[in-house]
Amino acid sequence: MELYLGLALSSSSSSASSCSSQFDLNCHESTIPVHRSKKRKHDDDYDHVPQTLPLLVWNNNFCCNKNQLNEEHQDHDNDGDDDDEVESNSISVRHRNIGGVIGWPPVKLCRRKVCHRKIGNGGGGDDGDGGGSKSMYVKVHMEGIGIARKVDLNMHQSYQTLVLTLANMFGKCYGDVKLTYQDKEGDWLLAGDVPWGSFIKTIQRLKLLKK
Amino acid sequence: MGFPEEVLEHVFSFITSHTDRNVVSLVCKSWYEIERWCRRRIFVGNCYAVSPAMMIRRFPEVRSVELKGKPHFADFNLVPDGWGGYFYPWICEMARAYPWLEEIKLKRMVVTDDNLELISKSFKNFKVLVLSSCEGFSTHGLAAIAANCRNLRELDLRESEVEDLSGHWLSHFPDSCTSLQSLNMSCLSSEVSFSALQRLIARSPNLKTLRLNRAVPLEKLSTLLRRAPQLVELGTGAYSAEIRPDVYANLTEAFSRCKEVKGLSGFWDVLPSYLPAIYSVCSRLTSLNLSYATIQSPDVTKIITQCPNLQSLSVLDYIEDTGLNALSLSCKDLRELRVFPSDPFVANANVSLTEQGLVAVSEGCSKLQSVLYFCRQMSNSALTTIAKNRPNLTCFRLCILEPRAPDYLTFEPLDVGFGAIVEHCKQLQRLSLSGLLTDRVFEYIGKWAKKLEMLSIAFAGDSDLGLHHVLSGCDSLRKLEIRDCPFGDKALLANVSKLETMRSLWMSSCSVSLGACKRLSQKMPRLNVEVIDEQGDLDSRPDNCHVEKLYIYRTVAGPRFDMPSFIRTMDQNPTYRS
Repeated sequence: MELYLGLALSSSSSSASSCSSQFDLNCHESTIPVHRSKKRKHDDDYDHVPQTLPLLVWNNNFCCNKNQLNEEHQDHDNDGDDDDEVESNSISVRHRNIGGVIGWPPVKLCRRKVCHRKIGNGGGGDDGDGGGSKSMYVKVHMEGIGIARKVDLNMHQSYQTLVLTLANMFGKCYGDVKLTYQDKEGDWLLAGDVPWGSFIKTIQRLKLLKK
Repeated sequence: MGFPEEVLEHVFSFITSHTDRNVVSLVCKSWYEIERWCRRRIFVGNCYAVSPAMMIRRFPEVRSVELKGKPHFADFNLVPDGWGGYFYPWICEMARAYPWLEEIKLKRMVVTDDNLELISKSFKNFKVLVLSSCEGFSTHGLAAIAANCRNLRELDLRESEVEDLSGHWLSHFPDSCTSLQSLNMSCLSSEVSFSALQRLIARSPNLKTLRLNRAVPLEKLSTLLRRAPQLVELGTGAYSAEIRPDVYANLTEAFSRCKEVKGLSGFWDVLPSYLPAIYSVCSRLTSLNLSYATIQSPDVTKIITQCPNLQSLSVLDYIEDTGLNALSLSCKDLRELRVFPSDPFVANANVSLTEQGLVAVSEGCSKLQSVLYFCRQMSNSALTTIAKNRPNLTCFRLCILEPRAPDYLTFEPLDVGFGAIVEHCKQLQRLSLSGLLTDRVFEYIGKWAKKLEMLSIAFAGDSDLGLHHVLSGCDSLRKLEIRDCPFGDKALLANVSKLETMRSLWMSSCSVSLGACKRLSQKMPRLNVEVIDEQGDLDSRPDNCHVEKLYIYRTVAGPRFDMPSFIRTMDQNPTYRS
């Protein structure tokens, strides 16, 4: 299944709404900024772009924008001074507590700690909102694709979720790829042989190969 | 009645439900008197609804007290620190009045080490301490409990926030303590002395429930299990270790000896290679909590398909639709399903879990009563199917991660879907809404949800009419919690007497004015109308400004005085103005 990713960019308009312009991953430069969309895409967008994943982040904008699909209810009190967080090259737009919605989704603290557990940390001492402040970005290449991406390894605790994310990133199927990595010594190895903790300590960059 | 007191007392001893006992006490004066002297268990759903003195005055011979403090939304950081819920006034009075107290169960309360020490020294026959989502104490307090409670049967710290100073507290259980039946320390992070733990388990022949914390290593689990083959509920520690055949073999063998195990939990940091060690107990499992296990669908599926007697499952959304489908085929006795999000703060799906998984379970599991489901898409047709499949649902909590997400197929609001749920599930007691919802869904809820006791609403509705439907229609409503909805003064002021029939109402980021809060308070003296406003300076605010947060509850104890400065109870008597 080919995943076509539509990234909605914010445009300048009086009510802080966004236009949506899709662009193909492969036609862009290596840094692909992901802008938080301040308004949901219109219905028509869903018609001509099949399998588009709307990239949305919930934040105060969602609180203010009531019934975003309905033009009449557009809310103009939007906090337009939200900093535009540009997550360079990470496909998952990371929620940060600042500017985010407090207490949503309704997940208890003890669970949030598990979801966003930092590698090597026993799970305690997190700041409670789950948005880890440490990132560990490494470059990922896909065989046959010129543009490199980056992935935050701190958002993963296992090879499976990592490969799944990377496969999605390049529009490939999980079963069609295999993951290799370059370690501290410069050697390229097949990922999965060493425990995750050791992998994290030694990895320099990743490459996805077609099976 | 003609019966002697002793006979009535004996009859009453068979009546254990709180509501039934309350009813009994209302029959006549003599029944009220007899009943109050022989009531042994008290449940106070809101610690501010009544004062400790009142409780003690009416019920002098109590053996078990259960209290709840903070509102439910405190679990999601919506209730500011310092709000209240202090156990202190209760323990002070009970220490004096109830020397024979055996059980204390607290939820969302602030408990200090001093409180714990006072418990440990005041009640000679103290047996059960359950601290659920509590905070304010450290492992020092636990040490006092361990050291001084000679007949301790149960120590359960579920999900409490404990200041973890060291694991040494466990070593304070004296060698003479052999009464332990239940120990839940899963929320603690410090490592306890393994030898102390081992010896404690070995000398507790009645130990049925043991929930370890993450720090207990997997390699040592088999040692503990061998000393407690009678365990019924086990919570593992971290479930990974270096892959060693001897560790694996020991673990497998230890589990195979646990013939009584019915419930498993724990499973942090799971290394899938170690999972087969539990297979021998799977056929007897009625309860399985894998909600901390970051394992993928195939591994989860392999386990659950071996658990035909499963009644309760908690799992991460890694289970995916395929896993839920397998669940629906294998676990025909399932009563409760809870699916938690592995990556709640990310907009696009990291796993293939959709509404289809829940539909499948609703089809295959005819006894399903209770659902908690986090997902990223939902449709009216799926909700309607679920409702028609499972009219026996009593608890339905759906959380679509994106606020105000519409039906993903039709882009309409999910009013009709949730309407189907309340219409078909006539025994529904608890409901949590999410997704795009208009006032219409509340019309349905008010019309159909006659048994509904607790309702949670977020980012929903269009106007006061929505809230009015709920307050005027839901006959059994006890707890209502609302956030970020356009509900204001009109609905509240039109339904003031309803509020006295409920335990509590929470509203945050809505459109209720300060003036309305004052008027409500003046109309209803037996309600505490508490306004929470962290921006301060409530006195200088105009009456038409919206309050940040509002907590209204019925009480016979009058306004409380343990609040921080940013919480104010609205005046009940307008002549007293500071």
